[in-house]
Amino acid sequence: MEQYARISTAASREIIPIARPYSLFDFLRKKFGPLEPLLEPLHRILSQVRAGNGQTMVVEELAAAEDLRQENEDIAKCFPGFTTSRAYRLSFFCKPVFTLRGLRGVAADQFIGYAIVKQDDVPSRGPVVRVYESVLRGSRHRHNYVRGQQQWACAVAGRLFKVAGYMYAQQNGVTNVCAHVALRTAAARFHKDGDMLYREMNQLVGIDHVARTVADGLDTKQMVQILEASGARCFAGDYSKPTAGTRPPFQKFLYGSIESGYPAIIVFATTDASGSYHAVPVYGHTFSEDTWVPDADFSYFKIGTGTQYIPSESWLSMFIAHDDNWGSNFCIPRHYLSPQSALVGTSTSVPPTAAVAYVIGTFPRQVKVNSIVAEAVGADYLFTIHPQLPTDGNPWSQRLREYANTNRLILRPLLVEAGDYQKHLTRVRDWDGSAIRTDLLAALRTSLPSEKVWMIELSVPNLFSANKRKVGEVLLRAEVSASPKRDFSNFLLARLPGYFALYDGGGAVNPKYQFIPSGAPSHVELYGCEEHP
Amino acid sequence: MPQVTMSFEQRRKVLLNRMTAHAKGQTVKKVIRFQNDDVPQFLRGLERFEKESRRSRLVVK
Repeated sequence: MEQYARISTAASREIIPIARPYSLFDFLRKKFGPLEPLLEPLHRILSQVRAGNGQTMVVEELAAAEDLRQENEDIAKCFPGFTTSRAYRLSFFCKPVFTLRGLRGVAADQFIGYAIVKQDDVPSRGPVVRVYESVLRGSRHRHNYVRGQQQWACAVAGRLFKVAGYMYAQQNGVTNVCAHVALRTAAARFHKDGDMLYREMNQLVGIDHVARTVADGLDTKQMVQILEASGARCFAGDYSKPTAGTRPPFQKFLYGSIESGYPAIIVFATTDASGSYHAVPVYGHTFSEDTWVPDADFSYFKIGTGTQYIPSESWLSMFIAHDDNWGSNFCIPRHYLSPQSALVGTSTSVPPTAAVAYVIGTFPRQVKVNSIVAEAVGADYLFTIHPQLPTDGNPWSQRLREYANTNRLILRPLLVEAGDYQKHLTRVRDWDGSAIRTDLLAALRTSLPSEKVWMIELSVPNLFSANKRKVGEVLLRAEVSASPKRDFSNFLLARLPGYFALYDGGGAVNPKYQFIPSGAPSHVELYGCEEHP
Repeated sequence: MPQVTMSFEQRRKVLLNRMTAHAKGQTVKKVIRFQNDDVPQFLRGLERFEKESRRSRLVVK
């Protein structure tokens, strides 16, 4: 028996051409009859297939798979009379196919994705149908940025296809709730098996479906516990109640993870009388170079009176997320969301579902510095060093000072491998076409540590958003905790117009830097936007 | 021959030496002190917030 339904064998198969005028609405009504209203998320999935030029759907009734068997066994613990469950795998292609032979000739890139629909006939509850899991390939929109997508294998008529994405799943309300399915999307990114099943999550927090069921849901502490057991390091923020001390905007926890290719989770308030919350996984964002927000006062991030800047997430207008109630790959407008604490005691028109109570950002287990800390520490070094750049008439040094004087420097934190930084520098060119000196690149290649580092990119308005270029960056160790003591234990190097800045001892009191000419006096491409191969 | 494992500080020093060697005397050395206490204060406050947040137990279902 295969471990996962997505690669299991099929007991029966139907190939359905779905080009217009075929109606996917009619298909759902015919296939699931009175249960169709439960399948709103499948409507959403099929609408994405339609928008993605879907031409063929293969419907297979699945024989058996270990993940389904596990779930059925757990449902039976809650409802001992439970015996009947069926699962269908719906696979989608953007090529017209009419026969099994035709399916064998489909190219790998014509596979759009799949959805597994599971129907459980639970005594005393009646039949329940839901999307057990689904992965569809990325959106066609060029403003959408999704990083860190896994490759999911899916069997169709005995042939394995692959699709990249973040898995969507819908709760069954019996052995899992919305917290579980949000966790599944996020935990898959870290788990040794590439997927974390609900039984493993429940066992971690003592839910055995006999003495303790999922009726009480999961709490946020348990969610963090499950994610960390999967291999993640979590950084969480509670925005459910007001706080007197330092509290960054909740968006920073989300952006820091997703921009580096790791998922995050938003916990929303609900209208439920019990006061319980709803969770959704977030894994991408939109970026528009024409966004107006960064020029407005409220886009500044103020660490203190002497340290203010524009964070790069100011150009983000939507988070890309799944919502198990409604389906996959939605864009949630950033400015639609408010921290729940801001609404406490106010008569506001913001619906509870837009009130953010809690956020969880994730990174790999070895990462000990989150993006908010990295950005702040990066600002500390960059804003201290850049006014002291050697005076050599470089106009970009002067411009940097001018933008700094009006608090209009832009910072973008990214988690990368130190070696990837060196590769990035080999591919960038400044505006005049000058490259970083090859002898310095060789020194970086042999001397940089093999570990994850934070690269905090430094740019200025318009250069950043429209041209996707920067004037420098600082590299900080990510796998060693950052101390407020400024002990230089995280500082690796900085690069500013024309120069690398390397630490040469002296500690926090008298820090000495060596400025080494880099060969590239002006601005270069942002990480991920390099113009040279 | 056993592999020599360098500490981070040693590795950073090696990087400094190699890069300054390539600079052929064109390096500029400066002492640059931090100008304010904004970031250390922010980090202390953030640490408190994150610790308190991890203790929260909001029920999600």
